[in-house]
Amino acid sequence: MAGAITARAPISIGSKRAVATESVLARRVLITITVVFLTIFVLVPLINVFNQAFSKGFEGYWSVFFPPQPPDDATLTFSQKRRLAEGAAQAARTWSSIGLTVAVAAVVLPLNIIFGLAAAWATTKFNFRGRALLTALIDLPFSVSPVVAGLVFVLLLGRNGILGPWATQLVWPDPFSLHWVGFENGVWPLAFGRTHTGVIFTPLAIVLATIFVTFPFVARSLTPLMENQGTDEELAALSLGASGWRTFFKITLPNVKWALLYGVILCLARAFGEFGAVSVVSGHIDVNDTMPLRIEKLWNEYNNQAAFTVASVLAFVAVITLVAKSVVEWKAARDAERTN
Amino acid sequence: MTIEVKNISKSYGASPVLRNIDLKINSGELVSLLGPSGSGKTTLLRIIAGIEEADRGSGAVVFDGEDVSDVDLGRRGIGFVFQSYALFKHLSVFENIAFGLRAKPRRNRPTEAQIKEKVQSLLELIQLSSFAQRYPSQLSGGQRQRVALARALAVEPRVLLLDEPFGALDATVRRELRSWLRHLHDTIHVTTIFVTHDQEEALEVSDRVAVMGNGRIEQFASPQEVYENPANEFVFKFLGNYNVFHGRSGAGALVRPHDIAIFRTSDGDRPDAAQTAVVAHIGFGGPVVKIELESDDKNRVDVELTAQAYHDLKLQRGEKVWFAARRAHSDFPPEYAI
Amino acid sequence: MLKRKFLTLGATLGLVSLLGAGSTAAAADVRLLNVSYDPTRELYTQYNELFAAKYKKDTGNILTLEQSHGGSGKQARSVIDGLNADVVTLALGWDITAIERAGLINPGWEKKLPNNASPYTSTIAFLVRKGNPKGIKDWKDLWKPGVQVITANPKTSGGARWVYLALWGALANAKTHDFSTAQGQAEATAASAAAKDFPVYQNAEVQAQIADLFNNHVPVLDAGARGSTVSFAQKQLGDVLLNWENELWLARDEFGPEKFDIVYPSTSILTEPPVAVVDKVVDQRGTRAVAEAYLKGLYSPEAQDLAGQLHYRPRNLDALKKYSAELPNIPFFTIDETFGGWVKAQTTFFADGGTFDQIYKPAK
Ligand SMILES: Nc1ncnc2c1ncn2[C@@H]1O[C@H](COP(=O)(O)OP(=O)(O)O)[C@@H](O)[C@H]1O
Ligand SMILES: [Mg+2]
Repeated sequence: MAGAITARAPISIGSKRAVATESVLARRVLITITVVFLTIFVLVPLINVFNQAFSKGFEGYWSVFFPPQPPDDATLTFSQKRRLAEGAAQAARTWSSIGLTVAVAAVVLPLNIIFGLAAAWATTKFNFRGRALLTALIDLPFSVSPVVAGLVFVLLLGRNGILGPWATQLVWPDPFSLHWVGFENGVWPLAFGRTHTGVIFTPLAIVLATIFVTFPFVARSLTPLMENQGTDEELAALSLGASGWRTFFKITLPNVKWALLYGVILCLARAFGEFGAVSVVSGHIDVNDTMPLRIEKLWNEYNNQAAFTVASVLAFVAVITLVAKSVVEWKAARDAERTN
Repeated sequence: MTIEVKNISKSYGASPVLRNIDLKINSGELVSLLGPSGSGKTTLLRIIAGIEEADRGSGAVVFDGEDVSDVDLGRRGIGFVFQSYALFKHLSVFENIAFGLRAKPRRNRPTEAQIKEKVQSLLELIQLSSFAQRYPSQLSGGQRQRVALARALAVEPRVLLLDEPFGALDATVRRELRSWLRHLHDTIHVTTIFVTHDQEEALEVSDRVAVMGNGRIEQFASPQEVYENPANEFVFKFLGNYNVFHGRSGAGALVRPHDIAIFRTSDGDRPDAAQTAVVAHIGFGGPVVKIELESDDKNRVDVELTAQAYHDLKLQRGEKVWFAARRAHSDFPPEYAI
Repeated sequence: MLKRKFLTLGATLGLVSLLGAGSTAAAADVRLLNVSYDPTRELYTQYNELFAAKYKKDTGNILTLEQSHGGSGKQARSVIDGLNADVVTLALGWDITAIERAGLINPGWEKKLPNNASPYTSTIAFLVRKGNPKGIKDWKDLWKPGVQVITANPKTSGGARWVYLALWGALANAKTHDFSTAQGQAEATAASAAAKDFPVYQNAEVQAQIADLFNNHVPVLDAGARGSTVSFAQKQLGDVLLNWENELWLARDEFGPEKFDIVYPSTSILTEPPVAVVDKVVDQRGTRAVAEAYLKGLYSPEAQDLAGQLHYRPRNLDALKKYSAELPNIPFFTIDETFGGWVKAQTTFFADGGTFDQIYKPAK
């Protein structure tokens, strides 16, 4: 039994039984309601996203990312020049938002994996005082509005926040600005292109906010499985003389790999799509835009087609996520079957 | 290796699970911890293994004269076999058995060839040579149990600790494995502690039996000794079925079913104390036949006869017979009365 | 074992400090953050390009200009909360005053640059549907039966506060000036300086009229100026949109001149979006010189021309004249002369419990 993942099995078995005992009419009504609901709230908006994204044709779609370049010798009117410059600036901002979104996910994901494993391990394999409280706390981000979460970071790390005096003075190098400078300045050939001051309204705050809204996913997808598996295998490995690390990497990790991957997928999807918390801590600076923030800005600039084009990329990511999720669920269910 | 458990206590919160346990096991002995469910057998075994810690300041676990109370599970040189087998699901039988060898520190880790040889010989020992590449899910319960044992033996432990190793198996397989384990122990002679709640299993397999009840060791002696001279009423009652006879003095006498003799009404040589009863039921259980009598005062009396004795008596259901206890236990200290 | 861990830790720290040391090598590249309000994105995108090119030419260094746009009040709040803005270019003086009161901008910022520290102005005008079917030509036409007026909420939107002041001043027949001439501008400046009492605040008749407008002609109050434009242009709500002049032009450009007409009333308010250097931030970051140059550059002929192109009213009279076809001259009254400045207007009208709260009773 693989917890969160195969917990679905009993549910679907239950529903099958329910269907068998309900009348045909009730069954039809329920199916119709579900289909209508999904059509109105999922399918139609999704189709609309792509419809709007391609409302100016494939070229229009393409030009959101790769604005047209006029030939060098072209003579242009002022307003043509203005539009070209605007298009180039917009595309640059869009690319920057894609870059930041990926970068934030790349930073958040490993941290979440470590945290999720630690949290799931602590709450399932140890018995200690306050365990229930810890379990509840892990779920907190699910019940807190992301906007409130963002505001809490502002209150905490902002100029007048509790940690403000420290946080606003913090200078940290942008890891993505690391570049080659050669050996002229000494033995170390790399340097950071930029540093940031402060935490709130910088990419670091975006990372923090994203961690906050995504950290339950890995822990939550691991917990039921780890609970179910108990500690016997780990104890067996330890009793055979394996070190803690070896036990973790050779026994624990392989046992939970599908659940872990499942959590990772959910976490990535959320990291890519989070708006509220990130919006509050981004300070609306263009370079702090993630894709969802970028979409909102394009929309506010009446640039609907471009907004939907970026949205379609997110929608595409969501579809991939869905497929990956199904594959992982299927694999996990198969593994679980093998175990029993 | 000798194992000494000195004055170990353990409680979970306020409830004591082990109370001042003392146990001394000789080198090469096969000892079973026998007791009803919840009596603390697993807890004691896990404390010996180092999985669980005894209450602070309560005592010590000593291996060969060395206090190992603070030694890590992995460094005590034990082989532990879990009731759930705890095989590594994602590893083949071969890799399961090789796990402990591969986990050794680099300087005394065997070569790949040595590992292979060792695993092969263990596979032969457990008679699963052709199953090396299977996964645990492709094995039967008994096979899994043997793999778990081989895995524990691979690291050549000084002590083998088995927690209800055959608990989840069906009767036939249990019996088979039981004698297999006995033979295995005769060949490798590693000190072994074996937890079970099955009296027959404990008595049959072990050199000595520690009968546990309610967090205490009630008796620690050879199977014959515990069976024939139970230290107290608890041990007596736990080790098998019994009848309670209330004599005219009012004190109860406890009698094993096979310690009751049945006499035909026609027999002249029956003892004076014999009472009359009616044969209420006859159960054929192979070598032993179980007879249920109903005494004149409407009490049920269980009697076990050998097939031969039953055959000689030619008992019929509904027949009136005499019966008498050949041997009764009635001298237990009162505090153990249940 | 533990010792080895400490060694690793030490090595990591050493590495980090080395990297940190390396980073100073790139310190010649300067960054500047301009925190602004919503409609100015295009203006500052283009001005930034202009200014960065000039900076490169003058100093040889690269200047990276970053922009942040949002509701003016919200942006001020972010700066107060720790957004490291080197300069703020907001919709109204009150928002900069709020930052000043938080101790981040030194008092007297209005006087550090010409024209009350607002390098370009704008006004409040009307956007109506093509052909002006309801015949809305001046303020009084807003009260015509059946006319629906779209504007944003003055409690949350800077632009809407200007709308509210424009309405109030126009109804109260505020004293106007001709801002297309140097003489008119000088007169206005003198009048502002001389203004002592502000009778508009006691005008109960105007207050009743405005109450009537907001309660009976305004179907919805959006939170922001941009939102109200979307309501009018995209959602097709209402007959007339009251908004920034540059916002009306943008809507007309985006949705097509065949859809909307811009109507100028007989008089309106001169909206003066101010700019200021955030003293505390530039002193901390060492960017004061470039930040001051950046704001000063807004008054340069090139920048003034750019403002005119994008439908802001340049302060420079030549530039203003160049774009007079699109930015027709009408008589303007000022907030300083008519209302005694932003602090007074804010506390009287828009603070919690102010007159706007008293008059506006949204339908239940
Ligand atoms: N982790 C634990 N927390 C609380 N009580 C426990 C725990 N483990 C065992 N116990 C209790 O200790 C007693 C002895 O358990 P155990 O040693 O497993 O008994 P046995 O193996 O003889 O059945 C039982 O009453 C059980 O409920
Ligand atoms: Mg047990």
